[in-house]
Amino acid sequence: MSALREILAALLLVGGAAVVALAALGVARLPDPFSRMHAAAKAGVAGAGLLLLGAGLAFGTTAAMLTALAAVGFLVLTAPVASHALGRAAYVAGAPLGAASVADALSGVLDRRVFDIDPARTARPRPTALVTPREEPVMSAIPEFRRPADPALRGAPATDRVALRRVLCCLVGGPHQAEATAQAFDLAARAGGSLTGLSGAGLEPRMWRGPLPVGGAFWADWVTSRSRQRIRENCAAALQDFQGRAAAAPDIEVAARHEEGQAADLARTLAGHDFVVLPAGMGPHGVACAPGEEIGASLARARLLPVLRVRRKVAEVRSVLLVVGSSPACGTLAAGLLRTGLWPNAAVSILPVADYRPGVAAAVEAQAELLRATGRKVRLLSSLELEFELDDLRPRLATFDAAVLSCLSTHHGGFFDMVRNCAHETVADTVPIVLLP
Amino acid sequence: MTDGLIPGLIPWAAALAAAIVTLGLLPVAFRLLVGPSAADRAIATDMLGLLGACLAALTAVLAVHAAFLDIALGIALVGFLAAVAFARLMERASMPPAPGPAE
Repeated sequence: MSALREILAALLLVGGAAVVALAALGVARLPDPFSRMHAAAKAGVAGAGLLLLGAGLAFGTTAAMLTALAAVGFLVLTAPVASHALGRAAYVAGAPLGAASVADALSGVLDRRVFDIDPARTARPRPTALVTPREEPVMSAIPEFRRPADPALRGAPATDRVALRRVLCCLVGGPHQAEATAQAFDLAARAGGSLTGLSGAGLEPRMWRGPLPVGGAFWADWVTSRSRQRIRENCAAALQDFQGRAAAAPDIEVAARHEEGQAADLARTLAGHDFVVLPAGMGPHGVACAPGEEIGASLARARLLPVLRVRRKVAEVRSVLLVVGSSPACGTLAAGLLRTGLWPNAAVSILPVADYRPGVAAAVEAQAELLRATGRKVRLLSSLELEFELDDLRPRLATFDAAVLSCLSTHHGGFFDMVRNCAHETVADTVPIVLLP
Repeated sequence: MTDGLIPGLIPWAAALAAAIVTLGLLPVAFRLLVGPSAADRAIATDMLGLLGACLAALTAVLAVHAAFLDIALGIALVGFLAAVAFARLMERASMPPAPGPAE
């Protein structure tokens, strides 16, 4: 018993001393007074408490143990009060907040004033930039590439009556990029239009925007630069592929440029184009992601331009599927398809999703009417239940070359994740080409 | 207590702990001397009180004298009062910032 007590006491003494020393290190090293106080209050009290308990145990008498317990209890009771008072006072006295702080919840609640012997000092404002802007390596080595169409071949008549003359092809890399580029060249050749390859658009390196522990800024930078490097490698490969195809297709007016920016800035770069071609499955950080988070999905949500998401190139689209759900955007799918003028000879099938829901049957009827009026072959499929099985739907979808959707994903887990499948995601994963008008 | 079952363990552990805590005094002293704002210095003083309490407890163990534990209790008490007094001083005596030239 006594040996056990002594071993425990020794462990507590050394462990408590180590924690206290770490707290002291934190007081010296953390970036602003508030995080220093955090080290002093929490780690300091924990370490001192352990050490005092160890000292009480080392004596082994009841009186010493009681004194140690009283000291620990007193510390635990008073340290939060003291550090709260100190923190409030430090805030009021104008202590600077570190660059890593995310929000100043007290701004507007407490006045920030100046406490110092030196009256010339003023309150130091919080640094405006959350992450200090450092010199980002900008990829300026790629000049804009532009080549007019060969005038001898320019007169070739457009085989499709496509209203989309200025096609933008996003070169973002990924497994389906080559197919998407090929499809974009095919489209531009049929329309007799121009093609712009935009690499890097909508991609941003993964960044950590939360609070950073000591040493965390280094790793955040490392992750960001790794992510940026991978994005640029993808883009460079896609751009090379694009230029190779451009050399092989002299009848198209081709331009290519590299522009890095967030997905939110993509709208600006889309100006002057009629149509966007994207590879499937590429997320905003240069890695594959769920359909609902793709660059294409966010573009389609912005409803600026029709977006064509390509998984596999299809030379001649013969059958098109319209997936009509209950959202209002699903009622304009046929109009969007007609406006783009794509695939005029393809047979159109309309797949209602849960047609007992309000508006679905009416939307299906109206769109079938509209398509028939423009001379398309229209077929109505039987309604898809919400609780469909993937294995039933996949073979039905295999016969279609293209699909028109209002969005890439309506996935929601439902109550306790009861809803397993999303019709839109299944279609987007199965059909080679998806048009988001 | 020196005649425990494992002779020399507790004095040895207490000496090691004292060395570690003494090492911890250095960064706190650095912060106390350098600390850019008054709040930093107040915090360093607070931390110094904690370290003092720890050292008093270790002295009690090393000197085999339980009265030093009461000194640890006293230092903790005084440290709390000092922190609150510093806080009141900083809060009361701070002035509204001088309207400097617009940046």
